Amino acid sequence: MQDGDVRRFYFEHAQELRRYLTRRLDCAQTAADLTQEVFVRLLRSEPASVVENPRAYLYRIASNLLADHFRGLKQQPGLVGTRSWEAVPDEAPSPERAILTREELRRLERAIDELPPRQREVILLHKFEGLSYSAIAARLGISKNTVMVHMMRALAHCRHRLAQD
Amino acid sequence: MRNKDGLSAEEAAVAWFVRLRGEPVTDGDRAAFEAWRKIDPAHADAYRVMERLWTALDQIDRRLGGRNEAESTRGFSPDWSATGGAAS
Repeated sequence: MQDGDVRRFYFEHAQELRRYLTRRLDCAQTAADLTQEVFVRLLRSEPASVVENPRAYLYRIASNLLADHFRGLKQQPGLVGTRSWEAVPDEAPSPERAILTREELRRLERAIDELPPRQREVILLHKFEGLSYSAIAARLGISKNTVMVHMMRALAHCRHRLAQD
Repeated sequence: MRNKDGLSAEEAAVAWFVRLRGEPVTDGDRAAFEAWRKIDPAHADAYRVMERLWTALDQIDRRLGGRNEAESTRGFSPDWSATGGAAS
């Protein structure tokens, strides 16, 4: 990706991405840092991997960074200077961040696979592309209420599967 | 255990979780949620499970190795032009 493309892309998506990350992280500062990091990585990415669907690619980077962040993994050294998000803020709620067991993850993964296509579309668009219910409704041509119903059914199914033996 | 609406704590937690991720969330919504959460420890537990589940999806996504991206280009239209950006 050319520098100019990234700059334009930044103007178009940085705010939305930061909102998305803020929602996920409950910390505006960390979200701002991660947003910067996403674009740093975008700038360094192979052009061929970006062109297909740049927005999805952007959220893929963000999703990977979030996963690293939550697991407290060290990033590759030397990509950016200071990583302020490694200092976990005190207000971060820790029990909610608790990672599921391997077995629970396996169940959850299967549950997602089992979802009817529409429910899966909705939950993936909301979770991984950070689209609001209204945005999903507009994209899929359904009402916002229907989006919420799909969300509830999808999550209820995941929750149900999680609890099963 | 079901409440008067016929919802189990788990079902109510799902409903609250979905509702609180919508926009706008009013002060009234928040107050009602807090009331629900505090009235029974089972409610608070059920809601925490939802938060863990939601966070755990990040790991699933990574394990699936790009399936969400594939979905977004195959399953739904990328809708890239409509957002004002160019793919190349």
